[in-house]
Amino acid sequence: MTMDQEVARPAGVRRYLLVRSGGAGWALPADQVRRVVRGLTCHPAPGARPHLLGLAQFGGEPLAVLDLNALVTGGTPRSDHRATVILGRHGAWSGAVLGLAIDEALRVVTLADPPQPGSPNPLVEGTLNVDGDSVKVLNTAHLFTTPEDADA
Amino acid sequence: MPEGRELRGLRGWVGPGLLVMVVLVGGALLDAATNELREEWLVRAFLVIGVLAIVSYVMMVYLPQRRTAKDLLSLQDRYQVQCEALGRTLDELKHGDMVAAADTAAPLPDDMRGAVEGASRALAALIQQIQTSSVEVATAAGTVQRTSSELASASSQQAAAVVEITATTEELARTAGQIASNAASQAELAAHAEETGDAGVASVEAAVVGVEAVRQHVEAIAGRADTLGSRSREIYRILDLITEIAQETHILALNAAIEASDAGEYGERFSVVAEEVRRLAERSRESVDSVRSHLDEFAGSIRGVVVATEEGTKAAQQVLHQSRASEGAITTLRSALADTAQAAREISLATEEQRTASDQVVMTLREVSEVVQRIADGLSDYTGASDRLNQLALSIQLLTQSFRIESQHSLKHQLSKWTGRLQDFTGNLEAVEGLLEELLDECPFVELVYMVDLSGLMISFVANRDLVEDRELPGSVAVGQSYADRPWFQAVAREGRSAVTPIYDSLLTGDPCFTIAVAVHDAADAMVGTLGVDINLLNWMKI
Repeated sequence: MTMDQEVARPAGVRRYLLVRSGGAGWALPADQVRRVVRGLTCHPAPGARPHLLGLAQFGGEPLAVLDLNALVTGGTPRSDHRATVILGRHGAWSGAVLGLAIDEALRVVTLADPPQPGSPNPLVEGTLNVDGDSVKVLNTAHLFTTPEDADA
Repeated sequence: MPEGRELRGLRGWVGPGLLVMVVLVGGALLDAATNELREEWLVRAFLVIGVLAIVSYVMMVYLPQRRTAKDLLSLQDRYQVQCEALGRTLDELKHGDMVAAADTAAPLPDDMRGAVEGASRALAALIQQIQTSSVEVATAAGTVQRTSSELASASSQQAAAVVEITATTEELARTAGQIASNAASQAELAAHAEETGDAGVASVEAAVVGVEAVRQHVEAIAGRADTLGSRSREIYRILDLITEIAQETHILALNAAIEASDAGEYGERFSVVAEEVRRLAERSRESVDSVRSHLDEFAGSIRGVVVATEEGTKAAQQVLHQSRASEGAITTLRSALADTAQAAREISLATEEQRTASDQVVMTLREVSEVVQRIADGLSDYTGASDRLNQLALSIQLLTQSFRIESQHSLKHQLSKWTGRLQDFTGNLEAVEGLLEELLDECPFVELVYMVDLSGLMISFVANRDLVEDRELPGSVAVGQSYADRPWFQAVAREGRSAVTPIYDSLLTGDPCFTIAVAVHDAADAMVGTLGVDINLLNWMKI
């Protein structure tokens, strides 16, 4: 999300991509999403962490694909995901991409209310109420945080 | 009689006297005639010859004639005696008393006496033989009578049995007729069933053809269902393709919305379009899901149809098999019905023949019944004939009893013996009664023995209780009762001989009987009474 876009929109209004993974609903900031793809071929990476499903190729560049549910909950990763959300980092590491394997990409919504914080998991920015359902907001900035960013 | 003898003596002198007179007259005449001849020697010779003639006559004629006359007189006396004896003998024979005839024949010459005795013996033997034969005839007649009675009874029972058998056989014939009628009806029914069986076979054959057609139709339906299954699989593939497209469209709409977000306010419209595209994709996917659901139901139905057609095919094949089995069964049943019809016809013919045979048996039984009835009638005739034969034997026995012969079976002879014993006890009534009881003991066929005096009054009697039993004696059987009017008494009193009465019914027993009566003489041979016995004819064969 760029500052220009944030300025252009009314204050507090954000767009989210609603996805479902592991039976739970997630809201991904739309400005962090580059693409939603299906049938992305993923090659497992030896010795990688469990939530790292493998490496894929997107737009001629290597792409690390993570299991969103396994990443957040620490559960057992699955390989039957039906879609992959390509996230792109802004800022110093702009251009870096990361794939999140999900079960289903639902729709794009525009919400005025900010996420309600309260989750101890740094990957969860907060929770949102969408049409009566409580969905968690993924802290995409934390996904792209490097050790250098943490030190800074 | 002396006058006769003198006359016969004078007649003896007539002949010689006349001869002398003839000779003397002749000599005188011859002398007168010869005087002229003067032949003296001739006269002398004539006289000598005359004397010789006289002497010769006396010696040769007169004296023998006198001896002959004496012999003739003696012979006449003997002849008179023998004639009288012969008369008595013939009189005894006339009255059938062979014993007295033998006694009276004693004065007869040996040859004549022998002839009389021989004739008496032969006649007695004949009478005895006739007596024995009459008893045998009576015995045989009794046997024939009993046998014929038993046979008549058996014939009657047999006739009744034949009548019963005839009725049974007639019932059998009627039953056979009913069986024949029923068998004929059964044969008709079997023939009708056979025709029905033919129709049934035709129907089953038509059913087999129909079932075969159904099976083919079901197989065609199965083929169509299989085709529908293939088509539904193609639809599934198309739906998968549409789903894939919808999902791609959905992803594309999402990416467009994401791109529109990056475009800021300029991308709002595009965002709206992207959202509409996404919704269309969503609706498409929902429609596909709905179509898939319907297609699932359709495919399920198709599978049901396939399963049903398979089951229908199996059922059709089973029905076909069962129909063919039914066809075979009906064919077998038809064959069995044909056999049944044939058997029923044979039964009908057999029972008809049986009925005919039963009718013939009935006719034969009726003839047998008539024969048995004739036999029964004949046996009745036999019974009558044997009865008459018995009566005839009894008549013969009575006829023989009119003779007196030296036989224990001659009642007259036996009674004469008893009269001989009675003559010593004529004045002793107790002794007379004792003798009468002895007579009853020896003669069990006598039911009453009695003695009457010269005036016909009963002086003693004894009844045979074995025959009379407990019957009360009639008033006529009592001492003092007069029997002077009875024929047997009158016959004995008139002729002094034994008498036999005709048969009459006894007053004591009611049985037929006859009476024999004989005269009783005392020691001086004077008749003092009459001994009578009543012979029970039911026991006459014991005589």
